Amino acid sequence: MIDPPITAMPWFTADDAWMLATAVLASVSCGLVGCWLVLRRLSLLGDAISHAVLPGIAGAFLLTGTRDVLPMLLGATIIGIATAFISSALGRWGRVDRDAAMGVTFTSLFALGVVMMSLAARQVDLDPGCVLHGLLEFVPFDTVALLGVQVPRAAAWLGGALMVDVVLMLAFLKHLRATSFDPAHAASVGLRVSLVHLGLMATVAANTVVAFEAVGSILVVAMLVAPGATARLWTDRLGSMLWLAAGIAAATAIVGTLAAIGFNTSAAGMIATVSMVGYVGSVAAVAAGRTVRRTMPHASTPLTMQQPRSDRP
Amino acid sequence: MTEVALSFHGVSVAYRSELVLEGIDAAIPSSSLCAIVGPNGAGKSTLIKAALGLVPLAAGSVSVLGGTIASRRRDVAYVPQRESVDWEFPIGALEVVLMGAYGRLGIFRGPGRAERLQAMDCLDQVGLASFADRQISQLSGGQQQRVFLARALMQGARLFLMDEPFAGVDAVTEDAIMRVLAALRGRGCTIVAVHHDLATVRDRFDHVLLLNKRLIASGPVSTTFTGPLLQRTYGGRLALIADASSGPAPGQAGG
Amino acid sequence: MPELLRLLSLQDASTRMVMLSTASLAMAAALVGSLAMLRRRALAGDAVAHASLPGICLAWFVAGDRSLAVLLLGALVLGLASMATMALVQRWPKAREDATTAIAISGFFGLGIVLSRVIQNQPGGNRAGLDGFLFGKAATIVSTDAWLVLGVAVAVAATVLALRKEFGLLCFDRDFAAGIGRPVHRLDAILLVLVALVTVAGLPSVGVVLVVALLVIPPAAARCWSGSLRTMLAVAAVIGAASAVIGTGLSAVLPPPGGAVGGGWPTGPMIVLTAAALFVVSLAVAPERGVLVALWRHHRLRATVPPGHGSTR
Repeated sequence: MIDPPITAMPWFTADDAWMLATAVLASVSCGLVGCWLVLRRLSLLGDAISHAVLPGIAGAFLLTGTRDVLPMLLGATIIGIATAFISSALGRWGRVDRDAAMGVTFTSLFALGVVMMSLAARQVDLDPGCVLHGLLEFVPFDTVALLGVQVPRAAAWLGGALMVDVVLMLAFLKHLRATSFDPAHAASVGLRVSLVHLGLMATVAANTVVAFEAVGSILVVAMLVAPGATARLWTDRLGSMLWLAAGIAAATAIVGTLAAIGFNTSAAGMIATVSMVGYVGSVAAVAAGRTVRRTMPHASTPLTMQQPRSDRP
Repeated sequence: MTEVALSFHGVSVAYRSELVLEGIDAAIPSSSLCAIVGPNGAGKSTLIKAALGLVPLAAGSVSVLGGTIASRRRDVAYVPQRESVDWEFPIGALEVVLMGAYGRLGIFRGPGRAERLQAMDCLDQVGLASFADRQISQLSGGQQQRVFLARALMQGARLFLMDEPFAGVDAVTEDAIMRVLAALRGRGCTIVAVHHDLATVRDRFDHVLLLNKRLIASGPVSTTFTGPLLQRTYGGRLALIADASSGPAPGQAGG
Repeated sequence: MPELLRLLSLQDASTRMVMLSTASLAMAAALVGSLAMLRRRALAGDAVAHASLPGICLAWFVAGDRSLAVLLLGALVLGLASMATMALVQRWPKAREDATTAIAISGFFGLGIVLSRVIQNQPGGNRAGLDGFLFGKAATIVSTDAWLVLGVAVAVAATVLALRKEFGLLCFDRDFAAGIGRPVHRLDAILLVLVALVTVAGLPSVGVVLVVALLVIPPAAARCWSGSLRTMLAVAAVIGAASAVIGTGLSAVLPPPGGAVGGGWPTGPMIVLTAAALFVVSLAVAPERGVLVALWRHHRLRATVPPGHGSTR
């Protein structure tokens, strides 16, 4: 626990501030990585991976008997990559469509994870319910010393994850952009399309694990997908989409956490709810804006072409 | 036929457990405009992908500009089929052209000022300099295709492999693209394109490769693009083909 | 092992009833799931399942009566509401279907967590009842509830079988079906309502997170065995029922791991793991589309293509 309160507001303590900071860090790092899931139409794979990492986490528990983050990170990343691999292999060999292949993979792995957790529960205190929705409220109680300051362990890990995400994204922006936009051409100039895909999946899995203790495996999906999907509605530029997504992620986390403190309920659940409301609201707002511009011919949009846009199957 | 730009030696490609290309032997001469012609499912796109090393060969080998594709990658530009592209991706025309430089940039290096100037020049060559900032989804089909041609120009290649460059393109754009391709050939480049419009093969290409899972024929248009060989390519199903090969009758085959 | 004997001989009336209802529900889910998969809506059930959690909570608030039937009715209402919201959002072309589904799954679940925490904070708000819905607990189902589930299962299965031909046409070629005057919109709506019904009815035994497995895994396994709709439906139904019986049986007779999941093996994960095992077996050994057969064929093909084989110039 971190004392004393840093604010005059009695209902907003230092613990609350750390909770807020942790939520923002988790939301922004997941939101940035998630932009690429949205752009590559892999949102559901993100959902699948966040469920499927469970056996990796449970396996790490069973092997080490502790709740150390590193073994969990390793186990979950391996399983995350395996999920992406198995889903696409099932699609190819099992002739099942992409969604069904993912459904088969993640439900099976998740079930395995729950059963493994039932076994692990003898050794460590584990509540499968928390795996689903996390306990952001308990984050401030588990601290580590960082540069002489007591910092919540989760916040430290999430801060590190955010930095790694940003560095990776800047370093591989070229690869991500080219392989997302036109994978066939990217391969023809020698970029490793499948390696980029694998790297992205590993990053998603790692982010899921780091965020999972705070927000749980199902609610992390909202953090992954909603900021990018919402930002995409408002802009047609990649740069602004990434900035906007980060802003939306932070705002959602702040609003959600404060609302949860106010109503005395689950912060992670509230953040997911706010994400969904923000997304649906954005769709409505953007659609309404378009309708207004259509009915007022003078304020019409920049020249649009007559040529029908080809839709991808 | 002097030098050979692209040659296939007994190339077979299998998807799952089915052969889609079988024992292709063909050579495409340098400084030529070559059309790959054949019905749907004949393996035209697969042949191009095989040349680029994008699909595994079940048998045979491909020689690109006298070497392997791995050693000649920087000299080869590829314009994929429209379906390969994510048209919803948030990206502008200039940024698409800049992708042509990705292959020669180092792993962590992004395109700089020099690349931007070159990309503008390439856009100018296809007549789209004023559209540099336009979203790719807001361009017409013909403009999109020209942006992809500009990206190929950006690569500074000697061999251009194009998968249906004229799909969804109006006649004016088609002429504009052809002018650029003819200029490239004038500079010693080789262009290989999957082509559907049988009526225009004779005017626009000088070499043709007739394909239907196996190679039917390969050679100069004047001697190879003939009625009997086309009948064999299309299995004699289309009556229009005979007209298309002999005269300017507008016959669209293969869809 | 008197327990095992008692279970296997189905002497216990309530065990028998629970088994029967779970098995028939799995059968109905497999039938509906097959159609949903062919219609490329494999994961529609997942959104319904996650939206059912806030539905259950709302029913808990609204109705004084807290019987399973009332809670499941609440789940059904919100499940259908989530589908309607997704369909509305989907009308906006920039809203990606996969992102919308992922956000709905996570957002509604978040809302459910928020509400369940509020219930927990209320005097007398015992969350144990709600927790059972997360992973399913067939053992706690009383026989009146089992009758309810059985009734839903029979009704759903009967509808699918009655409209088999129409659904087949819809899945195979929707435009053609519309062209010959079939009410395709209504059929699509009926299919989604059926998905929602089996999903909600499956909650007590399999739980929110994994119930979609009943809709996805048996059909995917059946797809390995047959290309015809009729056989596929039959095989899927058999695999679904077998998974339910074996899984429920295993969770009842295995010695409890003594974990946090109520001290026993969670039913849902056991059913899903059984189904997954049947899927893997199907994928491996199916005669026409099995992996083993395909590998053998591929090997034979490579062996028969000699290098530099035949030019026809």
